[in-house]
Amino acid sequence: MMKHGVFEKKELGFGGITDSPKDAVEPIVRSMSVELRQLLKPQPSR
Amino acid sequence: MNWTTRTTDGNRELLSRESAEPYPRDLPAASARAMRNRGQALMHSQVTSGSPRSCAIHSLLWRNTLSVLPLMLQETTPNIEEQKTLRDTRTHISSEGRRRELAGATGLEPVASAVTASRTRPRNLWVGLRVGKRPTFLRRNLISDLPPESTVCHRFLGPSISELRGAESYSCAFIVMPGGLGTLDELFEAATLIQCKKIGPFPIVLMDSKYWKGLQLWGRPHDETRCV
Repeated sequence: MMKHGVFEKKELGFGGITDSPKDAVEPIVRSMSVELRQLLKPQPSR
Repeated sequence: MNWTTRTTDGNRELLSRESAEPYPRDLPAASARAMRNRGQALMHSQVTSGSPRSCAIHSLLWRNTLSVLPLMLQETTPNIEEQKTLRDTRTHISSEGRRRELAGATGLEPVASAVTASRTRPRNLWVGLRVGKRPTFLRRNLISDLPPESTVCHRFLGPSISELRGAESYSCAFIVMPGGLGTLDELFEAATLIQCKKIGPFPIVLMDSKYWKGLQLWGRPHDETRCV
């Protein structure tokens, strides 16, 4: 549908299909502003 | 004012006047951007079960101190194995010092109570609201026991398009798990709102490539036939 101009890539932001929870969360965290990321306090995994 | 009514299948529903108010009704008019800038990132995560994969996602989100909306359906999954996975995840979240009340007992009420409590104690995280369609098993088994004071229940029972849009406007990402018609509805609605610049833009991630294969295939003929 993008080929025929129904919508453009930039109109829908970004995303994708994945099977990995890590791959799902990481781009979301990366997409946040630097200021916000600094506010987040990642916890160590156990 | 709360009242009960009956659904077409004979079950009781709790309704409230508040359910008609814009979402979220007790938040100030601060924009989603302002919330996010204060670190109050809100994740709209469409989770339709307590599957290991969805639990893993929520564990990762919590680890990054991103609040999430779900747990409602996870808490009420009828699947025994999924309930066990959910319990394990709750233990994991609690052990990381996260909000214990979110990791409460199985059932809708503790979650609803937790959300009510969290709204009176502003923190860095907003948690627990579930906006979406009710799965059949929940409608059959649990709906009559919902506590009337819970905002969650109101949202859960009767979200209008405007309420969904309100929830989405406070979100910073969408993770869409395998789901039913309601999930598809919300997925396309979110995409439409992003395209119209009403919300976002932010990432939409579809989990489980096997499940969404059909959606991918659906899009291809449109390209080939130039029919949209």
